[in-house]
This record gives sequence, structure tokens and C-alpha cells, in this order.
Amino acid sequence: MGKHDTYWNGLEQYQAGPEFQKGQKDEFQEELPIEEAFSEESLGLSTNRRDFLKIFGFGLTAAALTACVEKPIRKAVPYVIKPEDVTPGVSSWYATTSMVTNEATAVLVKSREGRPIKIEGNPEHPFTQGGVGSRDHASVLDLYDTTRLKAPRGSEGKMDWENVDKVLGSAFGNASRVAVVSNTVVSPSGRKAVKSFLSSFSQGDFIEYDPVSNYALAKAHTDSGDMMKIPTYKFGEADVIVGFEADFLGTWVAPTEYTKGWSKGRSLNQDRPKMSRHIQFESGVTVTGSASDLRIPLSPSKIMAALVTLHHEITGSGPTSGFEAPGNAIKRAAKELKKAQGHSLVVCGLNDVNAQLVTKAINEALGNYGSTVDVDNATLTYQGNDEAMMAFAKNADKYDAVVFLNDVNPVYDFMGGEELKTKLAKVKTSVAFVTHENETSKACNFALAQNHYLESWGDAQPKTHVVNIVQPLIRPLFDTRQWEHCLIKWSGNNASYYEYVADNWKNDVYPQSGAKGSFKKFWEESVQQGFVHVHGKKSMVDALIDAIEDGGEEEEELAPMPTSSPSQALSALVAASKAAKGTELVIAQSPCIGTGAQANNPWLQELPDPITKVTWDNYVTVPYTYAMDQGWKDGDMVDLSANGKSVKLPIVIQPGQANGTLVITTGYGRGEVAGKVAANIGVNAYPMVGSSNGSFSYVAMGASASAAGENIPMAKTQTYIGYELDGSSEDPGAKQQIEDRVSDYILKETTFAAYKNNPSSGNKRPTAHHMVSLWDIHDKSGHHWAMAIDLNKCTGCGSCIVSCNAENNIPVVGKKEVLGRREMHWMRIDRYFKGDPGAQDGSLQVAMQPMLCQHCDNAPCETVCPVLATVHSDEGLNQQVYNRCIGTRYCANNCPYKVRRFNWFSYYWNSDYETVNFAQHDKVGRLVLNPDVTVRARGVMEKCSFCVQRIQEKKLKAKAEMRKLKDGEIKVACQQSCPADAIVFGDLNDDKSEIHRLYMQNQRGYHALEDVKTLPSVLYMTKVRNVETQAAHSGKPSDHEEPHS
Amino acid sequence: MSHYVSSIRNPEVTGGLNYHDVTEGVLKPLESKPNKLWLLALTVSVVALGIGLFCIGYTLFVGIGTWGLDKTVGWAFDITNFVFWVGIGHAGTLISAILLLFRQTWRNSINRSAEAMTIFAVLCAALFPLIHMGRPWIGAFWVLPLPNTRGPLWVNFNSPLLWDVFAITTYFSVSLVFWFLGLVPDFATIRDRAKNKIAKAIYGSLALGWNGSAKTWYRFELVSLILAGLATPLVLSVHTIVSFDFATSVIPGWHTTIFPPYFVAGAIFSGFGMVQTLLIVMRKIYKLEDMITLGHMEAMAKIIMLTGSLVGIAYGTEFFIAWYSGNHFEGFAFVNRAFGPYWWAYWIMISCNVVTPQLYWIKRVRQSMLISFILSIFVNIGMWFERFVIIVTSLHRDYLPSSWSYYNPTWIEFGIFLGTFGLFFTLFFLFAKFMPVVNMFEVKTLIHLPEEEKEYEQQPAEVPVG
Repeated sequence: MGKHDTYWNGLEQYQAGPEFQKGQKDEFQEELPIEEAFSEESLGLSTNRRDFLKIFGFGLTAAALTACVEKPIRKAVPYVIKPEDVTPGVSSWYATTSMVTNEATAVLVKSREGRPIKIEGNPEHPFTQGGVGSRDHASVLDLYDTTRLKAPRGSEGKMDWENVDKVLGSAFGNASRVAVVSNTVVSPSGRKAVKSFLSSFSQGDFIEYDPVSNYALAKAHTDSGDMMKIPTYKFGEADVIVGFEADFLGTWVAPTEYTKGWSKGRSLNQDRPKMSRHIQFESGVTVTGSASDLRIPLSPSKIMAALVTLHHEITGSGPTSGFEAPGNAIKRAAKELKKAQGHSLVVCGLNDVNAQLVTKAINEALGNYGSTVDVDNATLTYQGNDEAMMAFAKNADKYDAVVFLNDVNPVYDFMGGEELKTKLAKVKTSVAFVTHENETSKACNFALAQNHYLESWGDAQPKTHVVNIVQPLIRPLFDTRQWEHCLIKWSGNNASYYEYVADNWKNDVYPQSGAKGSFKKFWEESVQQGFVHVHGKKSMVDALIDAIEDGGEEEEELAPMPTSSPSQALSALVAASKAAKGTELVIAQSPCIGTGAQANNPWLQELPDPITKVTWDNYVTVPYTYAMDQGWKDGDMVDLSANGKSVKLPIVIQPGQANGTLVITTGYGRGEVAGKVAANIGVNAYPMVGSSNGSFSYVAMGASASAAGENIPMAKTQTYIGYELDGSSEDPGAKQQIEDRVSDYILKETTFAAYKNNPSSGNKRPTAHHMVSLWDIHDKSGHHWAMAIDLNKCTGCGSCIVSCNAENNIPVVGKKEVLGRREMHWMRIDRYFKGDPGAQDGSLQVAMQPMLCQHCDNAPCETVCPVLATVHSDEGLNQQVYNRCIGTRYCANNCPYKVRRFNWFSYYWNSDYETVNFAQHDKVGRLVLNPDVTVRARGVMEKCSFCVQRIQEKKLKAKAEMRKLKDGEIKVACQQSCPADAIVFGDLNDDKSEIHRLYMQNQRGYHALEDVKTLPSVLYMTKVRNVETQAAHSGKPSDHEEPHS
Repeated sequence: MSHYVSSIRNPEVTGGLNYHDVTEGVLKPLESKPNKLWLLALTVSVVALGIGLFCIGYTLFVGIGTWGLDKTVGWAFDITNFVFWVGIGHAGTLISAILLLFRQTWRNSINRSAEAMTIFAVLCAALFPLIHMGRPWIGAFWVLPLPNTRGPLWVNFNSPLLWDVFAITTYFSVSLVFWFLGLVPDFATIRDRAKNKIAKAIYGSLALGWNGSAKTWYRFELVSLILAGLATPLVLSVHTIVSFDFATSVIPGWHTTIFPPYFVAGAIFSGFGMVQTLLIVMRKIYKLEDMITLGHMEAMAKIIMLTGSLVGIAYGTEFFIAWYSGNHFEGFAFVNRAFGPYWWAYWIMISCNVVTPQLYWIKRVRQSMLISFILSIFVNIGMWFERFVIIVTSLHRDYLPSSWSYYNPTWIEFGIFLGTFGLFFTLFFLFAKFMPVVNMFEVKTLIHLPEEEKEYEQQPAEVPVG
């Protein structure tokens, strides 16, 4: 660079002396004091070894000590800005739809501090009307089950969703033959999502499959259209109901809705006595049969023959099987049905299309279509197509990709599950959307964690004219997604599923609803209300699908439905009935566990079977006489084989069961897959399901059971049934004595004929001199809470038990403790048998009685407590003070009703209960606890409190609003959930209240064990059976009391 | 104490013992080194006690659930054992108080050990109300009417369990004072004979400065009488109140007015059964046959026979009333007792309490110590089962057949029951080693020395002695 080519900065540069030249080389021209700066002195590092060690030691210790300090984990974070709709300590309610059963029950969910804790029925809903089943109640616990699948899983283990989308996106891109298998998708938007997902493949099959199927029933009522229809049965409007193997109050199609209706027909009015007549023909004993007026045990093959006979009796034409039930029951039923033409109802639960066609023909002949059978507003909750499923199972390996939706689990619950599993192994891409890993997802390459319904948006269409909303109560707890969301995403729609649902509602539901005002308003109101009525001619689903089909390729219609005419069906039935030989095995849905999807739910596992009262196990029920002949005892293991399959399981002897039958329930035998709770409980009954006439057959002919030599104890909550079941029958006098005791003091019964003459018939009250008291009457000048239970409506379904569990944080104790008779249920249902246990003529009767703390005014428990831990409130409540209780158990001994429950162990702390009582053990499980109710400590007594927390909540609310409490404002948990409306609760001091009316005017009212003069606050109303005045088993036909219309 | 000499009556001390022989005989085990048999017996007892303590500890740590109780049967071994031990205690008070007031001098040689037995039995009994509670750590003092800062919280005076608390504590304290007071003159004797300083100091302090003066004796007799007067109603009241636990309830089989006398008779029955069991062994091992004579054993056998028959009548009356009342539940409860699932317990009770004691009508049976021992064991078994039958068979099938159940005990409950025997015998063996098992000074009043006999012959009138 030349000297003058550049501008110079100063004279030094210009002169460029040696000094400058030297400085030019360095960035800093002056000497930097590096040595000085980094010298030991200036850095203070003039430490020797000792000092170093001292400092080092101090530092290490200090660091260690700081690390040791447990910083308080602040879990309760106060709101900086309080969300508008969350007030700590105040619960809010949201309407949604329970998606755990096919029924799609409209529910209200209680949310506390942002977590759903209790499911209750939506009283506004036109069909379920506030009723909820036990499995719906229990579903809130499924949400907090830590054994849920928490994140998507591929064949190499855990994945994230982005990766899932990428991998599966390319997999589906290469696929041409794709099947989507699901249990009934009752959601219109969900169906649309499935269809639009499938529309992009050259072959996209949508197979709906219900493990406990009603395909034959739907098939008999569906001729065309995309949705299969089951008529809406109006049990409330039928004067004569005849059921054939249809457990419509327990498990069949829509039990909650049916119980609502049925109980209306059983509601008695003293001034205008009217009551439906219910005759049930069934093999096993169900709640429906128990609740009926006449229950004739018949094996399934005889039921087929009986249908034919009934058809012949009613129409006067057609073939006859020549079969007649004991006591001419069929002829008599026919006579009664004919008298009640147009307002009678015949239902059949056999999944056999011929049986269903004959039933349809009978109802048609009776003119019931249009009155008690409504095909216009049909039930859409069973879309399972047995034929399609069987075809799929045969060809599953021919698909490029199979997607299982919504916990559908055919590997477990399809009859050919094992075979399907091997076929799935050959499918390139198999995907299962599950909340818990299950047998099917284990057999798939991908298990995608799906939301619980309480975390989901959606809709459901249980009836042609009713659409429900599904709205989330909580953000997904784990890394899960809705299957619908994935499907629309994979079909290229990037909208959220919420937007998708809202869009569908805007385009399809809103116009059909006839709502006035803007869509926004309509949507908000619908979400608030939980459901809307739609009036389109076609079901909304059809309309939605049509929209897709218009754009897409032609979808194949369902195969033409009815396969045979009624006359062919009749002769087929006769033939089938005649062909039946050997023992008939009936595979029934468990009234507790259901199909088995909720097997990991301890509330359901501990819910006793309504009839056998067995918990935590499945078993085969054996008719009494047969067991006695074989010398079998309860719990004896047998090798049961049917349809070429064999299992080993214990027996339970069932009084009243039809001879020649064995009954096994589904939902058990989940093995280790389903979770810790369900692990190794019972055996799987599904492989024994067969098929006939294109539908699954839940009856296996030629079954056999042979003793396997062992005996395992059955965990029953009620063991004594009036006689010993080990063959060494006790003194028959004792049995009679017990029956007299029950009918005289505990569960009073009468007949409808006697009731009409005298409403207090059967209600023998103690004489006045028994009622003298030495005690002062408690002063109850404010409220006086009381309950009334109508035994004529209670079916014993057990929904109240689970509702009470959820409301009152009742611990689950497991099989061992139930065996030790230490279940903790505050509410139980006592089941009593009356009559000859082997009777086949309908003389064996079963009756149910809900039993809970009677809140006695002269409470025997109160006087004996040494420390006043149980005291009487001035509102008539018998209060248990947990803090004060020292656990002498004297109160429980002195309780004539035996409703007090003792905390034998620390159920929330003792590791023995970690699995079964996870609702009180692990951090996630505990989210389900009701913060208004204490979790009781070890060593204290507990019992029903009449939901005192609910009473208090409403009282405070009324007080804050400066008004009186309204009657019916307080609903206790058992009352709210009762699908039969059997329970009434209220204030006796309010003379306009329903409870006051029942106490004062109802002549059926009595107290259990009135002679003990405990003065209970629970009033029972006698059970009225609409039976012949003469003993039914005498075989003499005599007219029953017809209902007065 | 006066004494009437009759040629018809058998002597109450045999073998021609004099005062010194009594002292020597009674104090020999106390003043000599422990023998092997005693050490062995004590070891066995302590082991049993240890097992019991372990089982109690386990119960306290894990919960009452370790027992076999259920929602229907809320009491079983716990309260059975409680009533059993309280009942056993009764003989002691009866012997020391009522027989004292009735001037039954034959009691003099057995009252000491009977009273000791009372104290130890009540200790065993008191254990059960404590540990049967779900939360004994607070229950133990919440059942006491203590002034507190917990607002209006107070005990429930309606509750028979509270009455139990008062009854048992009163009974225990009166029995303890009575027993100790009776020991004072004998402690003084031991003190006077003691050769080493420690024993002298201990027994000296226990003797409370006893000097044997006439004034001391006079006061002693007076206090004894007063305490006997106080203790007498307790004999009747304690078991009456215990029976109220059941009688005031509403449970069929419990709710009967016959319980108070029936329980008292049963308690005396069981108490004498246990006294006989212990004394038959003790008099043999300690060679006290001359002081605790066959006559004593016979007298006790007769009481056992009498009270056994009384409870037999009570059993019959219960059945009769159950039928006669026409009450369904009552009738069922008693039929169920005899012929229901616990029939075996009922018939063990009947055979041990009603049938076998009738053998005591035979004099040879009364005088055979082997048969008496067996029969007394039967009485103990039978009376334990009586309480078991009353408690468990009434509870397990009460009003609602839906709740009926069957109770099976667990090994924890057996362990605790065994532990109370361990406690009882540990205390009893310690007592037998360190305290005079026979009331020396009272036995001495029954001895007639040859000189006195002469005096009697000269003056055949009543002579006050002591």
C-alpha cells in the first residue's frame, strides 16, 4: 500500500515512525496489563492448598445442603385472574353424553376446580330423563386411570403424534384396501369423519361391530338406509309387557331408557289404581325377570317354541310348535295381550333374525306398531353388523391397513378373536385407537392413545330425532387425541374436531332443529342443554352421509335386510327349537362389567351382580336342581365346553334358572392387558359365542359342564338365601321362617288385586302398644329430611350403588375383603328369594330392596356410642362424626339394618389396596375424589349421610338467595341416578312436598323392622305384583287383574 | 374374728401345723432360690405374652382388619375375651369380700391367690376394650369424662360402654387396694425374716411400717371390713354392667332382661373354675395341702356346681322366654344358637357349663384332684364359649337375612388371646415367687394349738380370737 494512497488519520501515521509501525501490528497499541490482570494477587487466588480445601469443602457442603432442602411444592396456585366460570369450592355442571355404553346416555357432569368428578343423568333429556346406568357413573373413574395408554405407541415403542401423522400418512398414502372397524359409532360427525377418511381409498370398508350385538333385531326393522334402526319401545305406555329373554331393565339395548318407561307403568296411584302387567320368559335370572309379575324359566330353544305358540295364539294362524310353558303361561299371556291390543308390547332378546321377525309379527298383529313400538323415532345405538364383521374377520389379512376405533376390541370379544389376531399380524398397517391398551391394540402395529369422552368434543344420535352433544370437561390428561381428529386430519382436513362438529351442526343439525335465531345462539344453547330435537325425515346421519356420497363414489347400500318372511321364520324357529339338544349355554352381558371394555374399573368390579351378588369374578350359573343332582356347591370349578371351546370356571347355583341351561357372563378374562385391576379376573366367554342366520348367537347348544374338582370361594355381598346351597338343606321350617320374616317385617308385598280393594294390603303394621317409647321425641322444627323408596319400581340394577361410591368417596376393597364381608358400600340392594329354588313354573320370586342408613329417630347406634360420635341432627339426620369416632363398632353391632361400615384398614394408604382402590391411592386417581366429602381414616365407622353435603350446598344457596328451599331441589346421589325414579327425598316438614304426601297419604308406606321402633326416616312402599289372586304355580288358569285404563 | 369350735366341723388347717409351720410353709418358695420348674413356667408364660404383644402391635399398626370381624359381626374374640377375663376376676372379690362378711373362715387360705387372680384377670380384661377400638390412641382418653378444650364434647352417659369404663376402673382400684391391704401384715412378717438388705428395704416399704400393735390390728380389721362392704356391691355390679352392653341393645339374643343375674352367676362360676384350676396346681407344687385342704376344694366344687346349675337354669329360661314371648326374632335367635351354624359352640357351652359340673354331686369326684382339675378346665372352656355364643351367634344372624355372615377368627386373634394368658400367668408366677400365696396371718387364726384345745375343754364357750 503506497504511502499517500490512503487518507492518513493523524501525523503519527503520516510520519510512520518505528514506534507507530510497531503499534500498527497490534490491535491494542498500548501494552495491555494481561500479566497483571491474571496474576494470582489481583484475582485473589493467592490460596494455598489448605485454603483451597477449606473453600472447596465449604462449597461442596453448601451445595449439598441446598440440594437437600425440600422446597415446598406449591400445588394450590391461586388464580391471578380468576376464570369466569370457576369458583373454588363451587361445582359447575356441564352437559355431555356418556360414551361408555351403546345407549349414549345424556349426562350432566359435575366439575370441581376444573376436574370432572361425578356423572349424573340429564333430567331434560326426552328418553333417559335423568337416569344413568352404573357403567356411565363409573366412567368418570376410567378417566383418571393411570393404566391408560398415555401416548401413542408404534411397534418400536412410544411415539409422538407428529411422527404418527407422518408415518401413518405415508402408510395410508400407499394403501388401497383399508378397513375401519369400530363399535357402533353413534356420532353423526364421527361417521362422517370415518366416511370421508375412507372415501380416499379404492376400497374403504367401514365395519361396525358390537360385541354384544342386537343385529337381528335391527335387521328385522331396517329395510334400507345407511343406519340400522331398532324401534323405540315405549314400556311406559304398555299395559301388558311380555319379554322373551330380553333383559331390557338390565342390559338389553337401552336399559336406562326402558327402566324409565317401565317404572312409569309400575307407578301406583291410590285413587286411580293402574299398573302394567309384566310377564317374562327367560333362562337365567335377570333384574327384568325379578321385577316382573310372572317369570317363567325357559331355555332359549323353548323360548323359540314359545314365540311360535304365542304367535299362533294371537294371530290364530301360522304353524304352532305345540309347546306350552308350565301353567299354560303362554296361552294366558296371549289372552292378556289380546285384551290389551294396541297398548301391549312383546320384546325378544334373542339375536336371531327369525325370532325377531316373529316378535315383530306378534307386535304387528297386536297393533302395537305406532303406539308402543315407534319405528319413526328409532333407536340408532346398535349399528353392529354381525355379517360384515364375520366377513371382515375372514378377510382381515387382505387389507393393506386396518384401523380400529374407539376401544373396539375384537381380538378379545369377537368369537374368532384368536384367528383374527393371527390375520392382523399379516396386515401391513394396523392401527388401534384405545384409551387402554387392549388385546386388539397389542396385536396392532400402532396403538394410538385416544381421549376419554370427558376429554372429547363430539355428538351422538341415539334416536332419529334427538342429537346429543359431547363436550370435554377437562383438557386431555395425557398425550392423547380423539380418533375423529386423527381421521379428519389424515383425510386432509386441518380443522380441529371441535370446528368440524360445529360445522356439521351448522350445516345439518341447525336447519333440522327448527331453531330460531342465529347459529351461534343455537350452538351455545345446544351445548348448554346437551341435546337437540331434529325433525328431518331422514336420520341426521343419513343426511350427513348423503352429503359425502354426493361428492364421492357410490357407496354400497346395506344388504337387503329381512331374509325370510314371517311364515318362513316361524317354521325355522320350530325347526331350530326341535333341533336343540343337550344343555344350552347362554352367554349374557354382565350387568356390572358390561362387555368388558371397562374391566379395569374397580367400582364396577366391586358392584355386586344384582342377582347372584357376586363381585370380582365371573362364573357359570347352574340351575338349582341340576346342581343338587350333581352334588355341586357354589364355587366348585367346572370344565365348561361349548362350541368347541372349553374354559374352567366356578359355578354359582342359581335358584329360578331354567333347567337345561347354563349362563355365563361376558366382560371378564381380560388377562394382564386390561390393567392391574382387571388382571386375571374370570374367564372370557366370547369365544363360545356362535353364529346362526347371519348373526352372533349368544346361545350355544350342546354345552357341557363337568366338575373339575376344586372349589374357590365366591366373593358375594349377600350369602344367605334362606337355604344352604351345598345340598345339605337346612330345616325347611327355617326357610319358611325366613320368608315369613322378610314378608312380615322387611320387604312387604301384596298383589294388585288386593291393593285395589285395600291399598294397605300386605302392609301389616305393628299394633299401637308396640309403639310406646320411653324417649323424648327429637325436636325438628326446621327441616326433617326423609326418604321414600318405592319397591314396586326398584329393579335392583345397582346404578345407585356406583353413584353413591362416586359421590361419597367410598373405598373399593377388593375380592379378599368382600369375601371377608367387608365391602364398604353405603347403599346396597338386598335380594330375597321366595319359593322353591328349583321351581320351573314361575313360583320362585325374587325381590329387591335398597338398603341404606335409615336415619332412625330412635337410632340404636346413637345411644351406644361412648363418645357421641354418632348423633342426631335437628333436621332428622343421623350424623357420623368421623373425627370423634374411636371405632368401638358398638353402633354397627346395634344397627338392626347393618348399614354401618367400618374402616378395617387404611384403604387409602395401605399398599394392599393400591390396585383396587387407585381412586384414593395414586395422584391421578385421587382427582376423582369429591372434595366435599372426607376420605375416612382407618378405625372409624362410616355410613350413608343422606348426602349431607348436597343438603348443605342447596341450603346455603337458598339462604344466599334469601328464599325457601324448593321441594325437589335437593337430590341425593342415589335418587338422582335411579333410572326407575324409585327414590324420593325431601323435607317432611314441608307439607307441600312429595315426601310429605307419601308419608301422610300413601297406604303402602311402611318402615323396615317397624317393631323395633327405631322410627326410621326411610319409608318403603310395598311391592305390588300384578299376579293372579290364586297361587300362580297351582297351574289353574285364572284371570289376572287387568289394568284399568 | 370370732371362731366357733364344733366337733362336727372338719378342721380348716390339717396336719397339726403350728404358727411357725405356716410361716415356714408359705414363705419357703419366697425365701429360697427359684427352682427350675418355676423358671420354666415363667419362661413359657413370657413367651406367650410376647406372642400376644406382637399380635397387638401388628393390629395397632395395620388395623382391626387383621381380625376376622366383618360388617355384621363387629365384636367376637375381643369382647368375648373381655367378658371372660372380667368374669374370672369375680371369684376373688367374692371370696375376699362377701365370704369375709359372711364370716366364712375357710376362705382364709385361698383368698390371697383368688384376689391376686382377680387383679391379673381384670388387667387382662381391661386390655380388650382398649385394643378393640379402631383408634385406641385417642379412644383411650376420649372415653374418660375429662374436662377439655374441645368445646361441648363430652362422653355419652347413655352408652353402656361408658358404664363399663367406670365399672372396670372402680372394680380394679377397689380390688387392688383390698388385696394390697391384706398383704401388709404378711409383708411385715417377710420384712422381719428378711436376711438381705434389699429384700428388707422392699418388703419394709411395702409393709407400710406395720408394727403389729393391737391398735394397728384393730384399724386393719376395720378397714378390711369397710373395703369388704365397698367391694361387695361391686361383685354384683361389675358383671351386671358388663351384661348391660348386651341387654340394652336391640339385637335379638342380647336384648334380654335376664342378663344381669345370669352374668353374675356365670362370672362367679367361671371365677371359681379358674381359682380351682390354679389352686389344685399350686397346693401340689408348693405343698400347701395342709392349708388349702381337701375341704376347701370341696367347698369350691360345691359353689361351682351351684352356679353351674344357675347358669343352666338361665339358659333354659332364655329359651322358654324366647318361645313364650312370641317374638319372631327372639325365637329365631335362640333356635339359631342351638341349631344354626354355630351349634358346636353352643353345645360345648352346654356340656361344659351345665352337664359336667353336675358330676360334683359325687363326693369322690369332688375329692379327686385330677377329676376336679379337668372339670375346672371344662368350666373355663365352657364359660369362654358362653360369651362367644352370646356375642357371635346373636350378631351373625340378626334382623336382615341379607347381612348374615359367618365369623372365622384369624391367628392374630388367637395370638392376642394367648397373650392374655401369658400376661395372666407371668403376673401370677411372679406373684407366687415374690409374695405370700397364702394369707399367713389369717390362716394362723384357724390353728388351734394344743394349749388352746385344753382351754376349750375347760371352758366350752365361745372364745374370741385375734
